[in-house]
Amino acid sequence: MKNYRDFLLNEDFMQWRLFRTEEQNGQWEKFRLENPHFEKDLDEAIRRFNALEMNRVSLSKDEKEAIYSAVMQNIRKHEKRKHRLQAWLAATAAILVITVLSTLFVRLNKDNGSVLLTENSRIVGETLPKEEICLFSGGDKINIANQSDIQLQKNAKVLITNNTEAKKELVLNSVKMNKLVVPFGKQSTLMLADGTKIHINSGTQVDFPSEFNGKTREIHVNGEVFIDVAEDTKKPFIVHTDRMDIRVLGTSFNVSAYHDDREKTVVLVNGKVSVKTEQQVTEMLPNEKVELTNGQITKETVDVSEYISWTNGVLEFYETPVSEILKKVGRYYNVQFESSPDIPLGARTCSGKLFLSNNLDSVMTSVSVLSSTSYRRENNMIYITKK
Amino acid sequence: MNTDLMWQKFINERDDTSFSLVYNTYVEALYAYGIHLGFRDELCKDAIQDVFYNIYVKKSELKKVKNPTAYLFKSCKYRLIDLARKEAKIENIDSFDDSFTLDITVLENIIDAEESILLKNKVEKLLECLSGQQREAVYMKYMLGLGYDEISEILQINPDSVRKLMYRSMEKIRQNIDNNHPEWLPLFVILFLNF
Repeated sequence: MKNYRDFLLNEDFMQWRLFRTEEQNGQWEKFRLENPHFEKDLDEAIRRFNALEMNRVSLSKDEKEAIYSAVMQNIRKHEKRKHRLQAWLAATAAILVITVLSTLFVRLNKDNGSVLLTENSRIVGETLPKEEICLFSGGDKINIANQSDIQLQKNAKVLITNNTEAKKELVLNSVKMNKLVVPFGKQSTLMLADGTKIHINSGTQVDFPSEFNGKTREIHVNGEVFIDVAEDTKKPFIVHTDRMDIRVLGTSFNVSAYHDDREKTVVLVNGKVSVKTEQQVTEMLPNEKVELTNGQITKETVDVSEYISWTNGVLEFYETPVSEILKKVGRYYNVQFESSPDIPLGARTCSGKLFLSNNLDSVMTSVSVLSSTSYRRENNMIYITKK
Repeated sequence: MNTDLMWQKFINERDDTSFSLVYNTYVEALYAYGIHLGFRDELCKDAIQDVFYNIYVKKSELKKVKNPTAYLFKSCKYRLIDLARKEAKIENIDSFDDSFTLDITVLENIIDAEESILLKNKVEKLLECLSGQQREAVYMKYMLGLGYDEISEILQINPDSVRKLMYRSMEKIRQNIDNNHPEWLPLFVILFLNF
């Protein structure tokens, strides 16, 4: 054998390199072992055979880029379509979140008093004893577990499903208004007789009828709700709050109105609503926020996700003062914050998402990191200190 | 980067960077494959566009993919057939099965020009007697390094049939040499002559 070439151009060798069946591999392995003096030539032949390629076609850089950008363009189009679809799904039902300054909280507050609000260092005023969600109907009081679904059905019947999927059916007083009180640290959802779905945030009270028999559908809200209004153009849906009324004109919106928030806001997700205060009436467009401060209405464009994220167990913030964030966390977990006066929590802002997990400590760890503070927890009291 | 690692990175991270890495690794080979299956340049580019769009959009389905090379080539082939069907409507597309061609090239930086021509001619002669499907299987095995299971998916025949297809190919080559190229000597004869 003169050199590697005798292998390289040999028919058996070429077939082996092309097919590499187990039998061929075995035969050549055996050959290699029996003929160690050929090993170098054999390896060289293999190396050279590897230069052989099939169906090499080259695409120019421009061609490759043209295909790639066409792919990316289609992907972006698809993503937009998906967003539009999601927006459309949301629009099929109206969504409303309300925060209103109100007197309806008197009942909730009288135990702890409003003294806490006067102290600047206290951020959240309400710490309630382990209070249950309550549904008042006529003279009856029904206790409801946290995170329950309350569903109104025909003939003033109500179906309550708690988070362990246990169901309970009751009959409400069909004439009077019912009252649902969701204390701090609790959340619930309520489906009204017309199919309108309401996410109720902590520390909120909703007054609603067992059935909508009149020309309009009217409810009263104090606190924060996210309303998914069932469409019915013949019966306008009106949300009454302490300082303003929101009239739904086939739409979706979000209202937040807590008595301890100086600003009451309505955020419109989709459709059209009009907001009426004592002084004025204003119509809103999607992605707009109407804010009521000291009787004055201001309107601005916002990212709505920040205002409705709580319904998914997430708080979203964009350059929000830490004091605001603590207020929301406090409501959700029913805790109260006290900070040393040398920390300007109102001046410090944060942006991001906060997952409202079952573990308050993991939430507080995130908050401390975001705001560069430390915290210490004693029962329902959380003390914020410098790092 | 190893192609499997790169694919995993794309599946897990789903960012444009890992996507463009996958794209750049496969785009030329997929194009070449389409062309050698006998499809027009335009159609090949459209199919490649659709294949990459789909892998980006259909995220959840990709977790099941064991071999990304096999998956991409298979997707590309059947997308091409679909597109051609839509375009031709009446034409019988089944004929595509036997139209696979093989072009042999030898990279000359490893091997000198004269030798590369010799090797190219010999391999071409070796493979000339194979059917389209047999050539396609050889291409999958040699160029893409795919196993019988993966080839069977692309050719839509069972893995045992792929094995048979390979053995029949080798048999055919052997017969072809005996009949048409008697000047080629088996290895043991060469070895014998040299000692």
